[in-house]
Amino acid sequence: MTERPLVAFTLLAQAAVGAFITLCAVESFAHGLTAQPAALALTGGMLAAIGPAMGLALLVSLLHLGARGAAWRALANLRTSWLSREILLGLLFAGGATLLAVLRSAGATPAGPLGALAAAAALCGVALVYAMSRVYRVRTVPGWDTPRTTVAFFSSALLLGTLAVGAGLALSPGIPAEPLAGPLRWIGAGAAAGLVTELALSGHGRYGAVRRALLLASLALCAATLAAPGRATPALAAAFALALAAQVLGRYLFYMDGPRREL
Amino acid sequence: MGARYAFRFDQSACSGCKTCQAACKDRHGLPVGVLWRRVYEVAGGGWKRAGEAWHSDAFAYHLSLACNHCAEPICAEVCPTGAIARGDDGLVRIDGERCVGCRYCAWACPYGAPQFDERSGTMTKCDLCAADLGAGRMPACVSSCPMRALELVTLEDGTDAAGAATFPLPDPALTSPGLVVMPHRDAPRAGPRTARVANREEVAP
Repeated sequence: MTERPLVAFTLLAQAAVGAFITLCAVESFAHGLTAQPAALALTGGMLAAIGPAMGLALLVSLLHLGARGAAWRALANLRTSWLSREILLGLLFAGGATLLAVLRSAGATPAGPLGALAAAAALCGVALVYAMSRVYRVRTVPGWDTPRTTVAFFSSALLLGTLAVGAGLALSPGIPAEPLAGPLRWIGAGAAAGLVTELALSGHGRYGAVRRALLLASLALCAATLAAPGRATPALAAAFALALAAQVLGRYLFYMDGPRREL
Repeated sequence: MGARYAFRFDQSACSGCKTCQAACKDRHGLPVGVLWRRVYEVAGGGWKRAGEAWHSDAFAYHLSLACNHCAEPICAEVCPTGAIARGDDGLVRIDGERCVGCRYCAWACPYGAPQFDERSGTMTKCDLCAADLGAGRMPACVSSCPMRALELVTLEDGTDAAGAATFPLPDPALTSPGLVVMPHRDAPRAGPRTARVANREEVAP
């Protein structure tokens, strides 16, 4: 399957965008949590990993090319090709996230210009996920040319991003349970919304039952987090693992079934 | 825009000998797995019971297909490097120097025309034997057809591709292909539920 690198690229990029926006939201609104040095160090560390993760995703995407040395040419048709736009937005998002991490490590505070930079990077991330979905919404491929593709890519970013951040926070030993409870509830709710969307979109074709079981198990663990965020925090890490497995399977099927036609 | 080239294919005349496919492969030295022209075997029907009797309504016909040098080529639209373009002569060409082999054009083309060549790592496809055309000769597929089922004709831009919606062809409105199909008498019976491509392993390696 030549699309295997694209499964990794799309999921990693979408998870990076979702995690970036979740981390920005946590730092902007969960002041009780970020007052904890361990929590701030963790979110800062995770933010610093977003740029390299997006860079890795772009590198992995090169693996499906036949002539990798000429990959830079993929930016040449911004006028009509969503693939060119996708690559440009991926580079802008990776660059923005990396610059933000560098400025923070240099001692800049997360306000003012840094906030504007974070907002611009987040905007690039959202535009990237949209462009990724438009790559597949080609009028000659009925299996892909549907709003479901766009919704699925955004829900993938939402659930993988929130669960990655939630799992990171939940597994960090130095953060007290009390300031963690509120943000984890919101993270769990965001992940649950993504999971419910994925469940609604999931088909009944090949491996459909397996994928729904993985999504439902992940959703149940998110519900446990919502009900008792202090005790159920390790559950969020398990929810992430299950959701990731469901998304890998779903994306694999997306590439297998989408472009199928008679000719 | 002026006239443009189109393949005219007579399904009733085609015997499915695949000489066009072999001639194309030979003319361009294509490797195993790359078929710029493919002959699809479309089959449907079967044994039906009527009272105590069984009778057959099986049918089969062929479709010889290459790049149709569409007036609205989706391959050129989606190509991220701009390696695919429709020239003033109406031919849609791939510039191998600019192609990165992402295969996006192969996904997008509803005719399966762009083919990945492992040797170069780039996409390739029918160029209508442009060198032969320039020398006043017909493309190899056309000149080799023993049944004269395949012709190269010129169409005015905007002319409907008559019969080009015959199963399993896509809606010609999607890309405005340079393709005129004279349908087999059984073609109206064929559809996604009543017929299938019977030689899939051969045409989609």
